[in-house]
Amino acid sequence: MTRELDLPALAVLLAPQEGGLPLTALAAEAAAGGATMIHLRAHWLPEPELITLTQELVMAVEGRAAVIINGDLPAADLADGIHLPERLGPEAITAARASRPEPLLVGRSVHSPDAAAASLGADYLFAGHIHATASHPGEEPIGISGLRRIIAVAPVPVVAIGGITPDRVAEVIAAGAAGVAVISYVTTAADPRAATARLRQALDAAWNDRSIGSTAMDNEPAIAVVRITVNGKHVEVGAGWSVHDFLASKRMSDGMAIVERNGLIVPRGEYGATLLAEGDVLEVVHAVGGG
Amino acid sequence: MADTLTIAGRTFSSRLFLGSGKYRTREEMRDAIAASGTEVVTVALRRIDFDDPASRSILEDIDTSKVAILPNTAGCATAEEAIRIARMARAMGLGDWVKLEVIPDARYLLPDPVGTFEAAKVLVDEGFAVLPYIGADPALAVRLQEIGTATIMPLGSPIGSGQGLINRAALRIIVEQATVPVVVDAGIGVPSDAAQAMELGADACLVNTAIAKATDPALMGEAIAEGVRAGRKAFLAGRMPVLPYASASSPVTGIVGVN
Repeated sequence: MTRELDLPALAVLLAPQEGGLPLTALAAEAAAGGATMIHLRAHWLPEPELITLTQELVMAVEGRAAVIINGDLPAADLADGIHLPERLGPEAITAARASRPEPLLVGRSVHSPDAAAASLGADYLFAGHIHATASHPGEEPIGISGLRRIIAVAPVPVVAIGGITPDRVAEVIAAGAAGVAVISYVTTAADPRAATARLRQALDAAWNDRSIGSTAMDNEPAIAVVRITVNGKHVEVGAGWSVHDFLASKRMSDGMAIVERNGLIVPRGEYGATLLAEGDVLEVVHAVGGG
Repeated sequence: MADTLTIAGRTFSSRLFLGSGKYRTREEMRDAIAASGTEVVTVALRRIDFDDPASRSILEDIDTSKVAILPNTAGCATAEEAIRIARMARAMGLGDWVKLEVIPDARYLLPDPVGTFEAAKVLVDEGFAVLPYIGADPALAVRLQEIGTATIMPLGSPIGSGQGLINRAALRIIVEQATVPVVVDAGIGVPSDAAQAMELGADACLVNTAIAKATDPALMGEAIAEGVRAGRKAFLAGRMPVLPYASASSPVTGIVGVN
């Protein structure tokens, strides 16, 4: 089975749960409401059980959405794609493809621009979590700025995940996301189909606004640049770039460079979080031979 | 008991500091650092040249697990510039040490005592271990150690000149008054210069050009290290007094034919 990635993406993540609707029913409702991807997170199930569940999901969505299995597992052969966690590293992307004769969608979760930039060969990325979310209690969200930084370096479409509700769709699409992914907003809804449809509506509206915005100016997609001064020279960098992104674009690791931005030293641990703004003046130095 | 040198809480067995400038190749520098047995290497900070793909940090060629890095503020003409560079140096994450140089004069590269003192005050307050490069000025040395610098680094002679110790009397006074280690920096050309500095009581020597510009830098690094060790041992051993007249080394009695 070959699938294209439908954009804008609306992914609904399912996991075996106590009570509520069976997963097959949830998947069917989400697909009917306009989901383009149904992710199944159930890698802990015994293999035969996971395979059966995958088959049931594929039948339930009736081709309206891609069924994606979390983890490089045999069950994925019966589905439309595989979703990989960041901790497996980018090489897992190639490995997932190499072991299968049929082309599959391969996605990966990322939490940093570094991980995003390294995700060559993936079809899409999940970036998050954008807002505080019940599925990651106590973890610091990356926010819209973190999402922008990931999108600036990501080689493939980026889907925003984490605390997404219909109200929060427009801002992530405006930031350059190619879709949204949700868990509880749909799985805990009294009417999962209606909840998915609300997301779909917000997503389509935001997506159209984005397209109109760019075509009204120019037929070419707008490439935003930020003009800064580095070591006394004028330089243009991408919108949303951080100090780290600039160094990486010069094939420089953070470790060797010392950066002063507008007269203030940027602590080494904050290169990724320090975004470059129009008119910034950077001094970027390193150690050289001296007496 | 081992004769060690402690500066700002760090203890060294080598009393020779090396500069990392002016080497013809990185390999020669690495070899000289190894052959000299130094445990402190100075570096400078400069803008990265993004147009030069070969431009890389000198730290990629120095094993910072074996030697302490002493960043300098070379190139700074004012206290403000030196303070700025010291802060950037600290952001390297290799410690709080800074070799403070405030040098407005390009011909003799002689340090500005007023600017050096002002920058030292600010940097000491900010928690830096300040190693100030100064002229051989005993009064300034006392003022600096009073405000809490980690060392005093008087020059032997102008940077890179290889003239040796041109003001030994002043160096002696600095050593005599010192409450912090005295590191003779600049002007040392040959091992005997280093030995002389150590003989008069300096705690260490910092050498760059004499080693980097030797035909065989590694061999010169080893030679100057031996000069430093010899001078240090002589200082510890205690030299004989200088006399205005001779004092025979052989018995003056029992000479044949003399009654």
